[in-house]
Amino acid sequence: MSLAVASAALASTRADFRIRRRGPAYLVMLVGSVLLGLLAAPPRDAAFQVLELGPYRGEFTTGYLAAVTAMAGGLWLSFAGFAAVRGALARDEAEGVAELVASTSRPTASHLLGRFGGAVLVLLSGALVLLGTAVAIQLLRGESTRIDPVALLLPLAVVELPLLLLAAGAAVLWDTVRPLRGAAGAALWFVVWMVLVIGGQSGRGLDLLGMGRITRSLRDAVVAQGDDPHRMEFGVGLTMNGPSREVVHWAGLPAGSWLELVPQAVALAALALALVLAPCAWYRLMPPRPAGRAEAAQAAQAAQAARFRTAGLGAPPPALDRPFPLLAEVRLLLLGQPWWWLPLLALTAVAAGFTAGAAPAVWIALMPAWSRLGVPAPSPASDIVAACPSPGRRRLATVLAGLAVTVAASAPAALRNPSPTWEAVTLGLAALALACNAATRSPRLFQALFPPLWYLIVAH
Amino acid sequence: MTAPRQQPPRLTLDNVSHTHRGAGHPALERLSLDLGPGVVALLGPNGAGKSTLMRILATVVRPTAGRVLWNGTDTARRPEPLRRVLGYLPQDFGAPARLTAAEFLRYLAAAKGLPHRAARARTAELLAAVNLGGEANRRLGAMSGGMRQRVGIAQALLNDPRLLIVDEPTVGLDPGERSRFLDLLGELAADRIVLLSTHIVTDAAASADRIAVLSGGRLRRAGTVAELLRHTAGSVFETVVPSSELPLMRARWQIVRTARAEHGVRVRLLAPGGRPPEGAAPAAPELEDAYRLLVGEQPSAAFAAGVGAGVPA
Repeated sequence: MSLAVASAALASTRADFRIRRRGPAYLVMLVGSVLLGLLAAPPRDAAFQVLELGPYRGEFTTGYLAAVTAMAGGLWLSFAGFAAVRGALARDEAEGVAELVASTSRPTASHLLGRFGGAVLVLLSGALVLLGTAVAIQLLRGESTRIDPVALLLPLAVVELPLLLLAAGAAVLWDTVRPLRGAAGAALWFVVWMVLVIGGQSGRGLDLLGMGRITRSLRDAVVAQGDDPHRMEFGVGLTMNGPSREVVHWAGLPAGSWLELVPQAVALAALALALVLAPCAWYRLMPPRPAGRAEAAQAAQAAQAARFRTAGLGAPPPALDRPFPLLAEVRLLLLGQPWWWLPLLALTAVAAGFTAGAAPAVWIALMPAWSRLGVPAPSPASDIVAACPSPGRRRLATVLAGLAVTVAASAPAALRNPSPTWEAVTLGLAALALACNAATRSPRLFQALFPPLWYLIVAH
Repeated sequence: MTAPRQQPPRLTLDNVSHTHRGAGHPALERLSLDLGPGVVALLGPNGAGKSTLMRILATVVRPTAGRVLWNGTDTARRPEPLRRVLGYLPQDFGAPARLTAAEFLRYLAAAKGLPHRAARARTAELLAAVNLGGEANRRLGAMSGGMRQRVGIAQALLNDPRLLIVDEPTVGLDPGERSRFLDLLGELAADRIVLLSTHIVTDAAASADRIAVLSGGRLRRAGTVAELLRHTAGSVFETVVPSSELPLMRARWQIVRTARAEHGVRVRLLAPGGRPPEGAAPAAPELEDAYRLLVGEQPSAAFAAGVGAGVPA
């Protein structure tokens, strides 16, 4: 990589980080990181744990808290953070920045690297806030007041950071593949994340969170203090396990054990970089205009001109006193999706009418439509719509359109096996989508929440 | 500030065509032009292919046929020599709302290869030049459309370009800024090529050394204002008619503009090679006449006619 490309990438990183950190999603992520830190080091009588150890909990030392926050951050920040950092390239295209950068002498690679860098800085700042929260809690709890900088930073460097790099790299890659920019991308990342991170905990995949080493070391610590290691159960996430816990005196993994994870961390970082640079082969900063748009515009203009020439402007059709644009809202939900989406939704809905196994797939198939529910059109279209009469009736039409699409898609399954639970959950998910989208004016929160929620519903 | 330049720049379009993917008809068709230093205005109605041509010249889009040569180098094969000296202001310039003007310019300066320190100095210099010296730390999202457009103009000048492409640059500018900007283009064009795309005839007349008229993806004519006016000589007439006769006149002649007069409506019309209406007097051609003659009647004019017969178009 030449110095000039690196310099452009650095400037792009700076600009991207500024844009991101001035947005509301950044603040939400930092607040989330603080909350995650509080969960990772819960009060003594708390009924939950981020690092599940059966009847035990670790002593709040730097080593223990750094390990727990690195695992929790690697797990949750890589998932939720992905939703927070994706969409940068779509934003650049919408704002016209992509076209400007495309006309400079080092466009694609430095731009992609810059967007990756910005995403990494956002996620890293979340990780640092998480770590800071853990340190603050350690000092407040006073079980150990010694701060060991090596024990504090090593887990971040070899466990959490590589996963965040991977999430940031995937966010850039997903952005360069148009079908993955919306709901499909969120669902796919959930699957990838489940396989990589959750799969890693089961011992069947890569030990991305360092669980294998940590559990062995914790067992040794339990044995050393004369307790029964077989009572220990391990898991990272958020589990409810009752408040009374015995303390394990564990100073954290020795530095040597953490360093054994360095090759894996380097490999993950290299993979992340490959994910970022691979799109140079196909991604163009200024994508071609939608097929036929210019021609269609020209044809429409010519037709309009001809009409005006011969007839002038006729009297407009009488306007409704109280418009109720239900059909327009339904059309808004259904159109503009990829060509294959509507047939897929229909197919899934029909299949759910024959077999119960296909029913949860209806929710997945509905995700792109739900992702649009209540999201305002980009400006200036949103301004035009906002200036239309009867805003209350229009909002009602939006809700009813979502309801109509949801009911229509879930009807075959409901007819096969009438169950209030099925309809309640389906409508509940639609309502969640509407609430999230309307509150954040974007589908991202819903797209981040929906896949794990779907998984939990189906699993239970 | 600027290094001495040996040779005047040359931009050559050789049978350039472009068809958008999936579109049946080309947006640009076999367009050839040879451009040297000076302001060249691309004049054409909406949908004429101006922005497509601008994107091709800015190396953002490749032509589907033909070549664009920058000082003899094919820009599709080797875009770098042109990109290093290119300033580009696209039509749909949005700008990231959360960056300040200075941050945005410094970012693009780096993308254009300017060293950090030079970028800072250049940013301050250009913001002052576009009358935004006091707004450097204001976020773009908090600026008016005209101010953002001026930031767009500043970014196009960051690398002291030898080819400056500006697509509808005066949109959103107030009359004073518009005039200032057109003057600036004239100054810049002394030793570089400035390509200005517009559908505002007065902008083209005020600033351009040469004008290329585009319509339906084709180059209708290119030349100096004088050459275009010569082409129109003898085709322009003026007459005053009762407003009730205006629809009939529109059906027979191409109306350039109308204005209220004491006893009806003063009509300026084109009658190329044909017979003008009885009583119409020949008029000295203006650039607007030449443009309308070359592109044919435009929807906007017809629209205005339909909205209010007899009201100035």
